[in-house]
Amino acid sequence: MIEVRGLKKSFEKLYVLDGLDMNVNKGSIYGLVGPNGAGKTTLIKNMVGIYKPDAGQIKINGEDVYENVDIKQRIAYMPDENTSFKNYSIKDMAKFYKGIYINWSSEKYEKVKAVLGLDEKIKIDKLSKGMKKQAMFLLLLSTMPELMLLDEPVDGLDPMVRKKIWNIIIEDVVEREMTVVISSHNLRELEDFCDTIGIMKGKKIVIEKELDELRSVITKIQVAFDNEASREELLAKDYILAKETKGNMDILIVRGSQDEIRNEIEATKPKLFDIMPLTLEEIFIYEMEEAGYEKNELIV
Amino acid sequence: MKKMNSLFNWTIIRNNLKMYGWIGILAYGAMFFMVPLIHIFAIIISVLTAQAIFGYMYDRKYIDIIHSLPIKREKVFLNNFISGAIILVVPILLLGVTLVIKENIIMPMYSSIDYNIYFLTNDDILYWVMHTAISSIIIYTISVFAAVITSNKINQFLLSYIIMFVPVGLYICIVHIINTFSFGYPEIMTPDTSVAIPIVKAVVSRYTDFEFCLYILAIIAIYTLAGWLYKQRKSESSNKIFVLPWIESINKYVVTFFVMVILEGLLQFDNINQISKSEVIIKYLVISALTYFVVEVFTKKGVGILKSYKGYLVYVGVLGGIIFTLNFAYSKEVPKTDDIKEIRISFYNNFDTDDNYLKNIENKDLKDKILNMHKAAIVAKEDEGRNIYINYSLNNGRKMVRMYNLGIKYDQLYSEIDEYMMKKALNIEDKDVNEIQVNILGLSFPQDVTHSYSITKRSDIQNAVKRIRDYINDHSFEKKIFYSVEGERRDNVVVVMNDGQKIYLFGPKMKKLQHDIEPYETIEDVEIE
Repeated sequence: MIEVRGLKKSFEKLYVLDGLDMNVNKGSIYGLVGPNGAGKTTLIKNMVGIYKPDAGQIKINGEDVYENVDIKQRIAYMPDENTSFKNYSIKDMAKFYKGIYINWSSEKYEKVKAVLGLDEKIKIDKLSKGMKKQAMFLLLLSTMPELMLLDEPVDGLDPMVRKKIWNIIIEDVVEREMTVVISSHNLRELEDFCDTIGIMKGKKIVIEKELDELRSVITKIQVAFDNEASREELLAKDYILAKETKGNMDILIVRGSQDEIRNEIEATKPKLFDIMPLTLEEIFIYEMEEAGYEKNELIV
Repeated sequence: MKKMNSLFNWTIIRNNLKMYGWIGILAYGAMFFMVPLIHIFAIIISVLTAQAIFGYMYDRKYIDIIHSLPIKREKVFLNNFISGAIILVVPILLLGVTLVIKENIIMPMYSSIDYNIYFLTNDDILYWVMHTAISSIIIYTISVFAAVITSNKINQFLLSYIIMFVPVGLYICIVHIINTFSFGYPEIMTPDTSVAIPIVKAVVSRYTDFEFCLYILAIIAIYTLAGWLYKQRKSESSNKIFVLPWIESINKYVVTFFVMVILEGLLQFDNINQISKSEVIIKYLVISALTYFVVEVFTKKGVGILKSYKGYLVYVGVLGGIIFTLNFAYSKEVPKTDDIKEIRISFYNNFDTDDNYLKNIENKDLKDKILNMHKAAIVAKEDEGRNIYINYSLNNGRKMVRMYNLGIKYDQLYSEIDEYMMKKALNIEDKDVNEIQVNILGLSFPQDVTHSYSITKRSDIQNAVKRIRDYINDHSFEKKIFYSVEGERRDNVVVVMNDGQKIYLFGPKMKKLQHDIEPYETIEDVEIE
């Protein structure tokens, strides 16, 4: 769906994106994570054709996006700051979008409006932050996009609203195979819904992984031995990414599938052995460390 | 219709009208009640409309929405432009219709018989509508241009008005430099530059048909340029005064040039004729260097100012080249005899009209004398005395005009030309004459031509030419018969030759000559103007 190659973008000769690559599959929900100022917004604005890349390519369905009306008809973009024209009600904005987007669906509009319980006569400026976001989702989804580019859409929203919004996004992903790129500075906001995560760092995407794959290759275990020799032998293995000792218990982060690890370790007869759940954040911290970044350089 | 639809985006236009249409309604109301101030009002409203419509460019939130929409930038620009034009023009048209109804239907119902005397005719109203609409649109277009090159509303407002004075300002400054550094530059009677300043034109004077066309062309040109710049403009533009670096550069040079010429002019305490050129050059260097780097500090906000010294060297190089060319090449140039196709001279001014110039000096001796005079004038550098304008047409198609003051030394040439012309007048063949015009002045002051007629009948011309020849023979010793337009506001007789050349005759006993050549039938048929 989206292929970004060698993207460069500078402001006043200062590069914000420098040789960035990215791949987004059709129908996936791609979480774009990085600290504030990492260039997430700049990347998204390049993808929606607001900015023109200095160099590199952004192909959506194989076509350049900048000044490409056909492609842009199929993209819905939600900026980080909420926007509507001054003094416009939801209905006014709907009328405007209806005139602009050829795929506008009044049916969809009525349906989502009912689900969200929005009053279309209210001026958007007067809505609360959460309501504004909902109103924007109502408008964007009614354009029946193939691709949604969402810049920090759920950050700072209360859990109820967040859940509601996620539900309506996922419905379209499932029904119409809509693709979503969603950014956040907080990995925790995204981990329950995204199937792919890209982490931005130093003007690039440094890691881009499918979550299923990640979850299966990094495992956290808790292990204790009576036999110091067995312990020494295990700790010397090169698939261990990190280790921590608490009393006579070792907590290890290891690379490899859970089944293999279980078989291997149980063969050494440990006194205690447990596989523990890993948060997405922890997985990324170890991935980043392995890729040569300091722990405290990472997210959150 | 399909093509129209692909060009126009009614959603954008409708949206703009919805948000800013109140400006038009306000304008209609204001114009209705303040007809006398209407043009001043139009000047302000035009800029405010441009600001309202294109103000979104300065707000990151709005420009992001607009540019994320599936509409090309040039189409966004076009449709925004049209929206503003509608807001400006529709109230003017409506007011025009209102006035037509008022003058043609309502006023006749209520007023006394002679209301006609002081009310507007439909032609007046049509002119008014066109004048106001064109003035508004050109100012609006300039303001849109200003909006596109800058990065906030205050700059846009100020630049809208400043830009309108730039062309005329440049013209005046360039002429000033030419006058300072060249010798022989024909002082042009200041042309009417108001046409280049739309806000002056909008308020003060009537448009000619030519000016209407000129303004329409200017609107198209400025629109095209602004539209092109809009596409170049980056959404992420910074808060600099000029968003495109090369416009910033142009501004830098223009400001430096203006300040240099104007400040130097203000610092000139001496008589303009006694200024030393080297002093002017030193002042130019000091002022321009200071200005250039001050402008750099303001626009670049302190980054890399010293690195820009190269730009200043370019400026000095170009200015030096121009001054050198004016002072040497231009001031000392005299064409070679063989290169000259035609010389025309005038003692009056250099408006390039047949009336002012003595054309086609074929006489070889006279040609050489003029060239010698030209060379001598360059050396003598006289400041006082009569002006002579020499207008060469060269064989390579180039035109060359020079103006010198003829001091006493050149009286010789003057009388030679005088004599030559008299000879020419003496040798008039009636077959070469196309028409003879007679202008008779009244006695009232200021004197003006009150009675004039033309002699065109062959037989009358024959008679008149004979009388003229006699007249010149009688008076030639007095050297008081002239041939330039100085004769225009006098009792005169103008002989118009078949080649278009005019010989003006005026001098003593002119009334008698006029009487002698007057054809019989015109005496009854006196035309009073």
